[in-house]
Amino acid sequence: MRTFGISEFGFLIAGFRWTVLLSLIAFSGGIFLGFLIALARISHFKILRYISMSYIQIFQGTPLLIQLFIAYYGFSVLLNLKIDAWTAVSLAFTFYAAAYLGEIWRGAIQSIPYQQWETSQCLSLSYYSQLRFVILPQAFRIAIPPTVGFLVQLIKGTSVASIIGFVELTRAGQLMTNVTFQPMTIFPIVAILYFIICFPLSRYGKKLERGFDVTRGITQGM
Amino acid sequence: MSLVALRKVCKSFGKHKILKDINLTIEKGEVLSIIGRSGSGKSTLLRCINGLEKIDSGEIIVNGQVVTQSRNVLRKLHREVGIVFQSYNLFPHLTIEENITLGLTHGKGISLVTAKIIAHSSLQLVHMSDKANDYPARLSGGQQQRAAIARAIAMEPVLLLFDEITSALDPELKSEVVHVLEDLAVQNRTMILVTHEMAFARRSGTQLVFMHDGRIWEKGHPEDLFQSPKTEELKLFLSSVMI
Amino acid sequence: MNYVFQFGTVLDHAPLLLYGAWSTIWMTAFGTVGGLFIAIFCVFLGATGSKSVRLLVESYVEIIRNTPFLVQLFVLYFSLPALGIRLNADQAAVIGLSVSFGGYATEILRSGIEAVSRGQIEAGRSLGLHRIMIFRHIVMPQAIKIIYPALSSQITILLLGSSVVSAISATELTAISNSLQSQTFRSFEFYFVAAGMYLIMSALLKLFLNTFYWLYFIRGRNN
Repeated sequence: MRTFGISEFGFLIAGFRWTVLLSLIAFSGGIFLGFLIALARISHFKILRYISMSYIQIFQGTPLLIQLFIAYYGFSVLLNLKIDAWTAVSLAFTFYAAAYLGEIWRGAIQSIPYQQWETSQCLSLSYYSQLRFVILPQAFRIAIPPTVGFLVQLIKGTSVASIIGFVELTRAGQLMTNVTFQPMTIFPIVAILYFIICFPLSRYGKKLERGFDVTRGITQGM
Repeated sequence: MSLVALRKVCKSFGKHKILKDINLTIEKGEVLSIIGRSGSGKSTLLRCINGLEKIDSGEIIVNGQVVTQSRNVLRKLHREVGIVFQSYNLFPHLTIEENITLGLTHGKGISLVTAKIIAHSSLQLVHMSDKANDYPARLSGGQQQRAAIARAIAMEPVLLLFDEITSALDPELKSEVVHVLEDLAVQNRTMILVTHEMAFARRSGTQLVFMHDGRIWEKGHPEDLFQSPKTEELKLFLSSVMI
Repeated sequence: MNYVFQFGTVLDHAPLLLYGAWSTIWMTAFGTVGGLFIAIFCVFLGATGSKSVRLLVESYVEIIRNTPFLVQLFVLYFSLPALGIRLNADQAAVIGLSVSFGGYATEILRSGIEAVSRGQIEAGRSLGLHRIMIFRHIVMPQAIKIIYPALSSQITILLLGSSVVSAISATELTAISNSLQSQTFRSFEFYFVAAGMYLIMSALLKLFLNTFYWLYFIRGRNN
């Protein structure tokens, strides 16, 4: 039995690194995919709208953990392949993030007053030019606060990857308690480590959010 | 051939008839003022001319082209017809110069260098050359509206539409905008204005249309209508707006 | 892909899955009610207490909102025994859900109350009502109406988040799906169906909450 010391803390930090890395991968992938989903969501083509609406409803209406199980266990049985944990986790979290970020983008785009669309149309701009030069630059600014808020939700969400054995911070904590038998010390430290990265981000997001409607952005993923 | 012709134009919003059998022609170089109470259909009529609203029946022809909702028709129409709105609708994230060059580079396909030259000459016309690099938020209402006018005229349209462009301005800011309108009128541009600026309509206008309840109630030379209104409605309207 | 779907296996275990769904619903309900009690208590403390009490409440909220639910659960289940508090999995799950929901609900309630304009409070005062009356009859009803959408969303998040308690083997749908798929090797089928069941449950929950809103706030007010 080991006691919790520097090297055990180092192991937690190593896990913490994977937490951050996974969050960044899912976040960047999610921004890109979510952007496409948002465009589809506001498209003039009904079928694109329906597909993106269904996508969002599915990924926002089912637990992240189940999505992960399907990605990791479900598909490996389906395809008779051993799916690498990183692949499963990156894909699952990216699709999860894309649904939320897509909704955020859609909300931002739709909050731009219709007069901006109308006026740019009257300057003979194509739909693509209207989006690119008038609508999206303004939507981007509006989307930033809720996007930062979601990043916090995503970082917390990565803890769920521990359940399939992926070694990020939470799993590192579990493993350390298994060898040190000190859950009393370790899990609170794990919590503190998450807090150190999430709290500043939350505050930053709240600072950006000032000026917007009070009840926006206060529901949060667990 | 008239620059703008409206024949038997009708439009409804649901059950409500907004425009009832509108017939009107506007020649090149004319300055037409449309006056009337709110709800008379004046703004809707203006917005139908450049295709922002779809008419239910009748025909609108602008510069030889029938106005339809087809994307190609509209894009071409918007290059030829400029519009200035009551709420200016400048793009807040772009400088004044960028507001103007955007339509030129991506609407008309002009190079940025040429576009900037055109933008600056338009700003000169509205006496705002020094504001080219400012953002709309830093400008007063009157300045923003003049910038919006510059943006519309930079596209070198054959027809300019103005939808109550002084209504949202504080009284002391209206005159700078009206001065610009007078300059434009003198330059022989074809202009259609929905307006409450009676003095401008009387002095600079070449035609006046009084709308009431979705119809053109009276039309003719401004001086005639102001001096001798024929209908009760126009008499009532004039007495309520003149000091 | 040479896989042969066997959803029939899932059907064979339907009763167990339905029991899991039922447990999930109960857990969500307990978590919501427990959390609301905590939230109301915290908002009350925050409004009437001293500066240090307010700081305590704020800390509670920020800790909940900035740490993962799974870690909170682990602290309850694995760390507390060291202090002599031993909870079984289901107890830890419900307490964890309540404490977690309480944190978010406190913030939601607080912001709703803040959103009710000062003018309303002034108006109440000028009518001669004292603080508690103003609160009960003027502030609360409006605050509830404002926060209802946010609170409904958070309850849905709670429903889906409850799946995480499977990690400590509490009884609910995900845990049951886990054990069934490990017995039958039909992982895809079981998780797919579980996902569908969660989808249905969250849709029904939304429907239920929206109907309640409409009945109470819209129709009820017109009487």
